[in-house]
Amino acid sequence: MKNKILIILLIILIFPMVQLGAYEDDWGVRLDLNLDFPEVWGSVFGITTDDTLKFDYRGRWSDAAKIEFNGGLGFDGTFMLGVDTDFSFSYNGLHYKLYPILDKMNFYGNTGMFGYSGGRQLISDPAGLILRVPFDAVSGSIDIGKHIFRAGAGYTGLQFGQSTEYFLTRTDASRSYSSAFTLAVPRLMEFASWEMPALTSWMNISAFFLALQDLTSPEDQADSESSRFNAMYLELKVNGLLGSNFMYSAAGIGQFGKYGSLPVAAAAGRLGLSWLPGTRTQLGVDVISTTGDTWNNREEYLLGKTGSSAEKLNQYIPVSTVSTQGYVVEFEIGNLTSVSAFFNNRPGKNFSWEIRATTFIRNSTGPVASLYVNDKTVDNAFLGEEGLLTFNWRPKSDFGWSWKMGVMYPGEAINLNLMEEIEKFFPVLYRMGFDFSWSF
Amino acid sequence: MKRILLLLILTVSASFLWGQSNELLDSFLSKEKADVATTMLLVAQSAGLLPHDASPQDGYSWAISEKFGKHVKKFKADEPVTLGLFYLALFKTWNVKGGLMYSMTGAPRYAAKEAGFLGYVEPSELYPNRTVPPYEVLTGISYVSADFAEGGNTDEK
Repeated sequence: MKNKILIILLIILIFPMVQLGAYEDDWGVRLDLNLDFPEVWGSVFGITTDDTLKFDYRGRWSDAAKIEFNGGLGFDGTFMLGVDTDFSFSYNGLHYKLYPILDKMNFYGNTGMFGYSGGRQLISDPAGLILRVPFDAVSGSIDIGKHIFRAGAGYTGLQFGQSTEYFLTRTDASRSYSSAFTLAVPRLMEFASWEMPALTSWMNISAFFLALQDLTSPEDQADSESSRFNAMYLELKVNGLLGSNFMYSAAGIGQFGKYGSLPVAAAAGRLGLSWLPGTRTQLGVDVISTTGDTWNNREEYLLGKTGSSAEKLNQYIPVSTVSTQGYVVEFEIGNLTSVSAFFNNRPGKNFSWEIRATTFIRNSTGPVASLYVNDKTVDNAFLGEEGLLTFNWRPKSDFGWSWKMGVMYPGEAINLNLMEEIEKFFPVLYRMGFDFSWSF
Repeated sequence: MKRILLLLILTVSASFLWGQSNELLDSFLSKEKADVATTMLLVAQSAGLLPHDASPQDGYSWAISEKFGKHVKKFKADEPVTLGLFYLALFKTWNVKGGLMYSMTGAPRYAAKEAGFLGYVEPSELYPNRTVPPYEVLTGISYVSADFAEGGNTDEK
């Protein structure tokens, strides 16, 4: 009986391949290297590196039968330097983690108006405010006229905890620092989306719904002092081109759920406006704003210990690290308003540059996703003002560089815990970084 | 619709195919897959390297004598041409410079990737060993001859 079932399963799997025709495939390797400095904390300075080496493979028997794979290795490291009151530096070693990555391994295809995918696949929301992560799922799509519907369901607990970027509860944080092969927090996720790419000549519209059920064990909850978080997200986005050189995008999200026994109701919004006076220049603003909680309601950005007086939670928290704001100090988007004005220009085919000014404000005087915001006695909402200059150079199609230099004027809420002797050198914060990518 | 598309492609391609015999093009376009010999002939003629009355066999012989000939030799003249081999012949003929790996190896797969980078091939169709239909050969030649007519890569493409 078992053999018969196995044979039937094999036939089902092999059937699409038998439609054969020739088998077409492609593979590639991509190396991304990064270096940023300095990370400052007290009397310690860090030079950080965040690198990945990934292999990808795609194969096709027919449009209805395709496979894809993307995976590799990641390396996150920090070279630690200490400084004492005499300004003598000491090297405190390299602290790093090396971890496996498996972002895609699925079977997919489309036939006529129907599409399907099964296996490890990426999921993201249209506005980039909820998630962008791999998960193990089955999903399908259907194109009816101008409407595109997608739906799917999957599981998150078979991924490597260090490489995925789920960032909701303290359990997520503990998994990302465990051993390389520790699996991610187990959750079920279901999604449904609707897109209408040309509602009018000047508007595309999409809606996205996500539900997640937390399956964290009672032991893990106790270890990380957190509870289960079950949530739903509903997003509506419109975007388009007004006239020939004015681009807009607007999105709103409602988040509802329960953390332990506490109800959660939160919201997020995004507005982007750009003026494109020519094909090489763009001038625009980008605003992201999300609801937050005070220190009385929660003790940290992630869902962990809540305040004793908390009756409900209002901080918006995306499922994964997505649309992270800031360069000198990085903020995840919960409890934050960031207002960016930017100008970019591409003087040649291989070179572009951008200048950007961003103001950061927390919407409630409570936690934001930065270790520098830790003083509960400061009730100032202003977090800082950042100026960022970026140069991108891509001399060849398969490799390129970018160089970033940022300066941030910190608000009172930013606490670097610096030694008095060093503090005078940091009226503002600085950060500089290089990125290099090579694919072949 | 397909006929209109083919007519459009032929019109666009007229600048380099004006002298090519209608019978040869008719025969080429009626095939399901572009063959190596005719593809090489059209590539050579697009750059004025073979006369308009040359035959597909002349195109095949010319391609074998070129620097990229070792990759052409792996195919018989009447075999379907792959995406990688087609763009390798086209880019080498039109002196299109490419990425680091393309310059170092001169391999068909990197020519295909270069075609993807330049926007000539949709990412979902970017399989270097995919056999290409005849209209894709003509559109590819049209794009490259229009973009690189001044000789090699320019900064202001």
